[in-house]
Amino acid sequence: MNNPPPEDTPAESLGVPAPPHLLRRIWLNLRSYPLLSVFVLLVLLVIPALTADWLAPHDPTQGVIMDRRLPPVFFGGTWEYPLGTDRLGRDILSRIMYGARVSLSISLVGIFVGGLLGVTLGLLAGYFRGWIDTIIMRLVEISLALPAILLALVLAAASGPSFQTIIIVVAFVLWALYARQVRGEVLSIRERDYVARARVAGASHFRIMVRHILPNVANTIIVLATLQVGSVIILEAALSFLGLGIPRPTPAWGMMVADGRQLIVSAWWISFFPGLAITLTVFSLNLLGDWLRDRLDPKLEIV
Amino acid sequence: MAKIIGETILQVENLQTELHTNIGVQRPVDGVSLSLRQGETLGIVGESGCGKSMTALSILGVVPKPAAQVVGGRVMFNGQDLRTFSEQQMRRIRGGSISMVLQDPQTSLNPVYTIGGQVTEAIALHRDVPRRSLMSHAIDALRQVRVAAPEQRVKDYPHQMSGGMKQRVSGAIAISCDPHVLIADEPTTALDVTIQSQYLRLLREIQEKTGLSIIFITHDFGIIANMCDTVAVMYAGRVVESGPVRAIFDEPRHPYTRALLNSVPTMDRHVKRLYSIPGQPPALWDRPAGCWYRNRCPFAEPRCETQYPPAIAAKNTAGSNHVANCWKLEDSTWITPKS
Repeated sequence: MNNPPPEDTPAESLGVPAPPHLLRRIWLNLRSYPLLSVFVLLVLLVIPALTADWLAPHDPTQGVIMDRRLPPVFFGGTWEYPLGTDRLGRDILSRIMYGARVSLSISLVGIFVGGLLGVTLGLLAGYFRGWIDTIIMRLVEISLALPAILLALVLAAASGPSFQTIIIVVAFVLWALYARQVRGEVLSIRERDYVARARVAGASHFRIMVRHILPNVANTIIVLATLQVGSVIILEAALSFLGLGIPRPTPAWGMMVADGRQLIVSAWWISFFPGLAITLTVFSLNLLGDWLRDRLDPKLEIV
Repeated sequence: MAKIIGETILQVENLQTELHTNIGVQRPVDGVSLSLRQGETLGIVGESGCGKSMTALSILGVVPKPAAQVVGGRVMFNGQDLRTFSEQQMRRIRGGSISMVLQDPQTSLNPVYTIGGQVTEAIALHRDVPRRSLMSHAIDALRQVRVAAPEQRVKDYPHQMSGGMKQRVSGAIAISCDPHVLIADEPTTALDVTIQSQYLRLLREIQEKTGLSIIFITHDFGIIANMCDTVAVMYAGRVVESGPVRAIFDEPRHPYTRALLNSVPTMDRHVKRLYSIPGQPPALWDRPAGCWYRNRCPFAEPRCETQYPPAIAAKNTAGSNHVANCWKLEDSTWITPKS
């Protein structure tokens, strides 16, 4: 690791407030090792998602009737099914690997769609202000006031659960956050002299927005997107858990947790491993996002 | 100075700009008229908030929307009224025929692009230059403003340059498309005095070489004396006196001009306290009846309270075109005395 955590200095003697709480210190230390998060993410999310077709030991949708509810390898199971099987005899490891593909694709596509929409509207609102700003910001408030799960229920009831439905829900939940954040930044950047200079040099509004303002809010957008992958994965898991996610039999982590719910006492591994995958992935994503924010946003002091 | 001054190139007539704010409609520019000839430097001088910058932005039609709006007057440029131009046409004018240098060099360059990128952008917007030779044009423009080793500097980012250098780059962007008029809005206020004089010398050289007309906005009479051929003194959104630079300095007709000149510290006179004009300029939303300067004017008469004085021509030794908005000028030999 080329980025060690800062040395603890005797803070009290300098009249500095007492060092943060133990849990907070662990968090801060973890945060200074972005490679750890990247490693966890690669192992849990990216590599399985890309290579599940070749690396997964079993078919994620075809169970073996004779091998139902087999425990993981060190709990009485065999290496045939390292993380055990579910009640239809499907390999949990394979299902988690394919589930990573669902999580990754939904968060990437959802964030892209929502981000594109939100950034565009935020840019327009912040740059032109006036009635455009008013309309867009009222829409943002409406969107933020609607609970995502409720919206998902309505959409799923109307069109049936599908990949597109989830993307629409995710985009709908996310765009307002981007729009609000980007608008705030644009409001301050549009007053900078280099924007005025571009204007008196004859640049069009479109050009000023895309070439002069957008690159200056890119940091914020990147940080926001990274931090949101985690919450999108949680959202997707929650939707799948409720049966509103990707239709069966495609494996999704949230659905797998839901499937093992009734068996949590007798066959804990069915829910546990997908739950662990969600936890570790989201945790690493938050660490990475925090680290990125510290690195990219000089306005925020590292506490 | 070997300067050739030609025909009138820019004529601003009765320009008015409104600003819609919470306390009502204000007029930061309220009937400004200016005239600029080819190769000439016009200085606009006045205290902070008197509408100097707003006038410049109004000429180019880039007042901050949606709050501000140009509501009246004409901006005649080469015989055409710029106020009738569409946004598309104005874009060709801005930076192409009339360009502008802003006050603060620290913030007038975009931090995410290289110097070369920003100069080439301006050139690409206005000149029909093949893509491949854009950079060499940018290097030429930088060389023209005396940036050392421009071939290397084009790869630099703004934060790698000093304030004076950045202001030169801004200058290079402004002159890169061979404009007819350059509006310089306090370009040296944020610079050291030595860098200031270098920059001013550079502007003069470019003017002599290219026959550029310059509108120089400042509150520094030293710069006016150094740079300008004619001067317009602004007060509370209006021009109160204008004329050849010598006439304004030697025989100011408006009491406000005299007061401004008195406020300049000098080395050859020993004074205990610097002179400052008593009182405040009138609020933009609460203009008094009559002359707007009367509350601060030592020569105010009863009629100053009722009627805003018209522009009255002054009989002058230094030249013609010297006018001031003061009733005192009805006596054509009036020169505001030193207090």
